[in-house]
Amino acid sequence: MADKKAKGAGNRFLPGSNIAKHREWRGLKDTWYDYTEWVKVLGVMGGFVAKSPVRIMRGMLTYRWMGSYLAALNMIDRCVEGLRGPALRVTRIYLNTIMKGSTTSIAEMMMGDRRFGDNDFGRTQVVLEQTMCPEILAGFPNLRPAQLEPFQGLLLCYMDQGANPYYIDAMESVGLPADSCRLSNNAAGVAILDEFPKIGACCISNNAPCDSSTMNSQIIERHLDVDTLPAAIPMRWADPHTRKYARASLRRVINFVERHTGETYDWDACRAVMEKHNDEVRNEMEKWNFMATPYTAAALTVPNLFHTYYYAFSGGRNPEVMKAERKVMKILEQAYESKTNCFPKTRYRAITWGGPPCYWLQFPNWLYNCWGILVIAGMDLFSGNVLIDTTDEDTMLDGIARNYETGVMRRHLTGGWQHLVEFWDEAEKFHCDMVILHDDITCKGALGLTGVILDQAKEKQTKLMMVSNDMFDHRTVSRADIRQQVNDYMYSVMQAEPLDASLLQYDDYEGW
Amino acid sequence: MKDLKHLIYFENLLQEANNELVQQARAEGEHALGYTCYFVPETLLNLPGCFSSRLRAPNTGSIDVGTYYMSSKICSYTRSILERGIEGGYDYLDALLSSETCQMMHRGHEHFEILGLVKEKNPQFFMSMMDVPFSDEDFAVDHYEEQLRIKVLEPLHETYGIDISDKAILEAIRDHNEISRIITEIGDLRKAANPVITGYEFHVIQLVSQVCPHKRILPYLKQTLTELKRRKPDAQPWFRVRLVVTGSEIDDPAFTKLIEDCGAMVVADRYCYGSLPSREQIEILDGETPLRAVARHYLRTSQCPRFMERARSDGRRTYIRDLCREYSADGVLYEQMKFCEFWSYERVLGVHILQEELGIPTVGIEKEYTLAGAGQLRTRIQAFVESLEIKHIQGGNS
Repeated sequence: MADKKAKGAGNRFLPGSNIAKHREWRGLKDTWYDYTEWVKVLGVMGGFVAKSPVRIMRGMLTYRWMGSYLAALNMIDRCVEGLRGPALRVTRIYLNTIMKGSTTSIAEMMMGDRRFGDNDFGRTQVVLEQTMCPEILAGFPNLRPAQLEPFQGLLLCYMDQGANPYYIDAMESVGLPADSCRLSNNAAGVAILDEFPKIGACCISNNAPCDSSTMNSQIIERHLDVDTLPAAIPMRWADPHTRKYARASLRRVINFVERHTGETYDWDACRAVMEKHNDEVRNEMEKWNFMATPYTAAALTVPNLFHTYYYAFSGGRNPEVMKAERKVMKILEQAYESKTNCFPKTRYRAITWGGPPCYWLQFPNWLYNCWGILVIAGMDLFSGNVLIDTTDEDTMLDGIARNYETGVMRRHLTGGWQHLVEFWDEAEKFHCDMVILHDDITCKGALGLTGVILDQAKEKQTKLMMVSNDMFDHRTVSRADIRQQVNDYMYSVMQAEPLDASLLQYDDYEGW
Repeated sequence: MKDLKHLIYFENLLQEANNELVQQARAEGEHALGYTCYFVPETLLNLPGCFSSRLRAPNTGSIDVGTYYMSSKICSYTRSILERGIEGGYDYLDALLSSETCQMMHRGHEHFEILGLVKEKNPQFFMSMMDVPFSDEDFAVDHYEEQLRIKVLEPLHETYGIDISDKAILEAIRDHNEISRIITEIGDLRKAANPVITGYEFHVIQLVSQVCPHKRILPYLKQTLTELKRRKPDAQPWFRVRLVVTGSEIDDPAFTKLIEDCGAMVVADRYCYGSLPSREQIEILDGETPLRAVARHYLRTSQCPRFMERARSDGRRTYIRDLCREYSADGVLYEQMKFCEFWSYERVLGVHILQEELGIPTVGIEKEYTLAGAGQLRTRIQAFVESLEIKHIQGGNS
């Protein structure tokens, strides 16, 4: 429970849930801005339902996971806790774009869902499983990528920490051990409960990021009503001898999609989208220059989230991404030029690494508001970011494969141990004095280097804080447990005092 | 049945990785090449001048150091191998050939490089890590073949001057086919209604064929085959049911013994370190180089769950069903090493499909590398054996 004697941001929430009693007061200008942005999100959600009201309502009644998206407004509000001025604006711009894109994807999923009646729209969709990015479909301008798992997994967990355990338990009830990766476990649970929409002309599964996702794909495939082909790309991706095989694997995917849709791959269309993909990547790298300074207006959860979002959903296809980025870059430039300290509570700069507690997306906000730890970047920010050479078919395929090989979670967990420990270098580049290592208790690829990381930490100046989590299952390591780990570290190792003692500990176990 | 002449000798050879025959081969200048995974073809590690040594960590006790490096949530086999490596138990190795096929074992092997294991004792020691495709299409075989050349053959040639010509590979294939023929012939004896060999004995024999230099163990295996052909079975079968055991890594014959002590004979061994697959003949097709034949053989005979395509996934279940028919098994035991991501899903899927779709009685178990928790395992296996007996009594699978 919150320290009732301490006055601060922690007193704003109802005990037990994490529902706010009132909106956060940020001064007149920022509160008004924040409120109008909140209303815009409400409009986005209204627009979502308006896209296909009957099918979306039927989806709500058919799929348990869809109901959790009603908590989207709460999720967004929690992402802006403690933010003011340019930082608030950057976060809001990103969140609005994510909301527009995600609601469109869910609406399209419902529009193509054969459970609610077969139609031509559904046959233009190609299902992409798990972390498969959409670039490979860029040469099919008439087809739409439809990501399967994020909406029932990662995004769902961001909305409602209580949603995923239902699917996790379903898999465990048929014998899957509780030590298995929660992300894969959850998706397999959705599959066996038959809660994936019946969409698309075919499905491209994949072997990313790890062993458990390789395996859960085999369960998911059995519960889809379309043919599936794995885009099985190399594990040792840094080895130059893997390129020919990587290209051949993707050519096979293209042939598979052509066969199932009757479409022909258009390399010029692919090139055009790859150029836009490259714009996104170049912009990302430019943004990092600002993020490395003390005047950054982009930090905490959302810049990472936005990167993951456009990696998974855009790949150069969604013009809204660059539209948002241009607005953000303008704010970043202004803040830098005017030397504005956008995060004035900062006492430590940190980088986070490893699989985060997805049931507490706003963990970095808490770190900032309670302890003054500013999370500048997270591991996922460094995923993908491949500039694709558009010279010819082979170079494009090579780049698409590399983008996929180095995708979310895969970039650092495969291809050699050196990739996982890159955080030391990244921390230095972003002028961080602390690394927060998310100890995802089911991530075998990361756990396998625990001792090596501890050994390295002894020789480094950068502080290493290890914080356990169970990725999608808040029952094992709850948010309160996470807070306690941080509090213990900050008191005992850093000898620090909190900025806001009312946030040190509170009861949000039953909340979204 | 009368005891096998060499069984105790074989059991002793399994007491440590650097066993008597390994030491003899090393003393005569042969190079010891360690590996753990099927995707590192044993055949290529038996080129003239070197021999394969499939790594085990027998008599494992504490694995505290391995646990420090890899955490307690990594499979105990991997941690045991690492622990043994840190203890110096593999200092006899000249190379460790590996592949990024299973995340945990791959991480375990990386520690040999990170911590400089073995290198201190043998400066020429090297570790090599391959990329193994997830498909067995021709383009995937091309890739695998290239990886074998670059990551296995060329480093052996460059470091130790090993002959990697087609002629030498052909000789290694002959060696593989000979030892495989003998093991298969011994294994086939398990198909009889009242076999002259137990599952435990076969497990020991199969293991020594993997952990000892082939040329040195071969005479003993030949003698054992001859002995088995003459061996008289007991008047009545000693077992109550026949089982196919499938699953992840099992290199401890005591586990097979535990199953057999419960009254179930292990008639088929489809697991990593088992003979099904691993002891099939390598055929060289028209126009193939010997290396291509090896690559194709290992990629297409593998029953590893990492092959994701539906045909391969379904094929793994029909393979087990066919084993049940061929070896007249009453049921299947799906084993999974605790924390193994591949086999945790494979076990769940396999148990469901075999039981519900193929009508084969199946039980799934999770175990540690060492036989900790043997009492619980025994109880589960006994219960399964009894359920199979009841089915026999009732005259069907219902």
